[in-house]
Amino acid sequence: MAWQGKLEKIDDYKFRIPSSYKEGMRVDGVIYADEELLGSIKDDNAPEQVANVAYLPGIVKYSLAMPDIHWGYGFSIGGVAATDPSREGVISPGGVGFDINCGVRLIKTNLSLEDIKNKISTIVNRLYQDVPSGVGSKGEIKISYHEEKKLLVEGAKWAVKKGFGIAHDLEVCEEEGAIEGADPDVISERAYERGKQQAGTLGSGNHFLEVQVIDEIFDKKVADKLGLFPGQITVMIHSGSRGFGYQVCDDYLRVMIKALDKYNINVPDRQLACAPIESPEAKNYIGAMKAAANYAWANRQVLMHLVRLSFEKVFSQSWQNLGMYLIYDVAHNIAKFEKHVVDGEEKLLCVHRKGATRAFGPENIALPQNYRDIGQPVIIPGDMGRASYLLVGTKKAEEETFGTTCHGAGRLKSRHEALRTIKFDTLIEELKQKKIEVRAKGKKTIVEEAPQAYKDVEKVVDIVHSCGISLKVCRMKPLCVVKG
Amino acid sequence: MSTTDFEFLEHTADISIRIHGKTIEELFINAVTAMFTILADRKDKKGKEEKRKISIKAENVEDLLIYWLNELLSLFYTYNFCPLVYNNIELKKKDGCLLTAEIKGAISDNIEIKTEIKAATYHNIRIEKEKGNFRVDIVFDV
Repeated sequence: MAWQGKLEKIDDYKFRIPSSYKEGMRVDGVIYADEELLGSIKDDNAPEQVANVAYLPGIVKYSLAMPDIHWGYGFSIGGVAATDPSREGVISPGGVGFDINCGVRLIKTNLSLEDIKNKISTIVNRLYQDVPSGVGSKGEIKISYHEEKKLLVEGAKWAVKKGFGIAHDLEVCEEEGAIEGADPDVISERAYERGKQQAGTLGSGNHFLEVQVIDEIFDKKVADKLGLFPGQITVMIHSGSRGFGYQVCDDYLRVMIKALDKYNINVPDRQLACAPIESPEAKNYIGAMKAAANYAWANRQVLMHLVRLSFEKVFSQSWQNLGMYLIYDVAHNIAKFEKHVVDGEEKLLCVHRKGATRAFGPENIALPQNYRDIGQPVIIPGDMGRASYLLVGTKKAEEETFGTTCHGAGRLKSRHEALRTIKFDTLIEELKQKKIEVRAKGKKTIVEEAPQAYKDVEKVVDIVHSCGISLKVCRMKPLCVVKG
Repeated sequence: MSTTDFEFLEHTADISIRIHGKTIEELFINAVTAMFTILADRKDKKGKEEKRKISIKAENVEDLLIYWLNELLSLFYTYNFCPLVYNNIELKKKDGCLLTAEIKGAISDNIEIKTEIKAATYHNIRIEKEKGNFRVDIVFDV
């Protein structure tokens, strides 16, 4: 169903849904896109969800959508909303999603394409064997209830203490891999049970592990600072909080649905269920969500460790010798309390990013000391056939978008349509022509995640670059991919 | 349940299906069957059998349906419990809605998960009655 509502052009890259579009909208909706991309955005009705989010009590400035926006449930994917606790602002689990702290990390190496071009198959087979992936996969790392409690508080720090990494990994991770305020006592037994089985697993769907080569540098100064050069091999990991996060979200959606009546909140979609940030319901959810975020950071840390071990086996060298250091790790499904300026006044806001990436500019104190001159690295995964990008955040993002940018290419075709219109053999042949090797448990996942099912990530990234809410540093082309 | 009891609807990011049922209880059972058709194939048809009693309360029947689906999803992921037969399934409407059921299921390690469903969502959920039959559209996060 194509969206027919009113959209006003603000400038070449911004379009407004006026708050008069629907009674109940407290603020305007603003979509970052260009005319061309706007066509596909309207086609799947996603602007309606941007308008629905504008109903949330305490929402400030606008309900935002990044250019990779597409139809989700409750919030659109690519949706951003900031609420003010001092104005009865709410937190909504639907604004975070089931996969709490789904995110990406980028690892550099000192290898170049020349070093690995004859070993691509060996690498992808090794990774596929050593990193648990696929639907419902269970990890090799068995943890007790007691250990899991520690993991939920300490996040990636827990993993490093266990020997799955080094202190430097934590320095270059959002929140240093462990957000404060996680409360293991507000987690259901079922969530604990599901979490025990899946630590150190990639997951399924659009989650992946990819070996890439840098094929273009856009900002040499920033690339030099990060130790990145053309022809360099990088590894990208995309995963989240697995069944643990899904259970936490489900548990708290039930709580929030009851809260709608209790606090007399009117939202047009029950998936937007929420509660005032100062309420006991919200406080418990925040503690649980942070625990799930830490689970995800621990998970990506363990996954990176497994990747490093795989490379050690293939190259018969230590990962340190291979220069496999973390560039950055960033969440793209999360709600965070951050200070932003609203009407000239600095306010502590709850920023929901549902398929959107934090993109803080230079000098922000939330950044590692080493990155304060360049801004926060922003990792944008593309699809398995085109490219992924590294960008940096900007002051402009802090001013305009609560320090936020896009998170990926954004789906164009449904999984069902992909299966109906894309042939597996043709797809594999196309990827082979591009010298890209893919491993997955089933053909179905590969077809569902085909490049044709996604928007062109280059278009999405060019928009956020052109409007200045993050700036391109380099582009990475895939060499081999393990799909979940 | 025959395959005609549910159909796929277009959804860009996730999976959306339409489910039918002659009674509300049948709609609930068909929704689970549809969910498991998308989710998993049980390779080992023998498995160990287990019975579970389920009792769920909600404010309204739509919320109840989503609670029910997510409860069974959670039992599947946590304990490998695949529902097979539903006995004494009953929905009472008094001070909200209460669903009770006895489910006979199989516990099997030999399951091929086809599509990992994260959860059933409350997105635009509305159970409609048309010519005496019930119908609902559900979006699953995958």
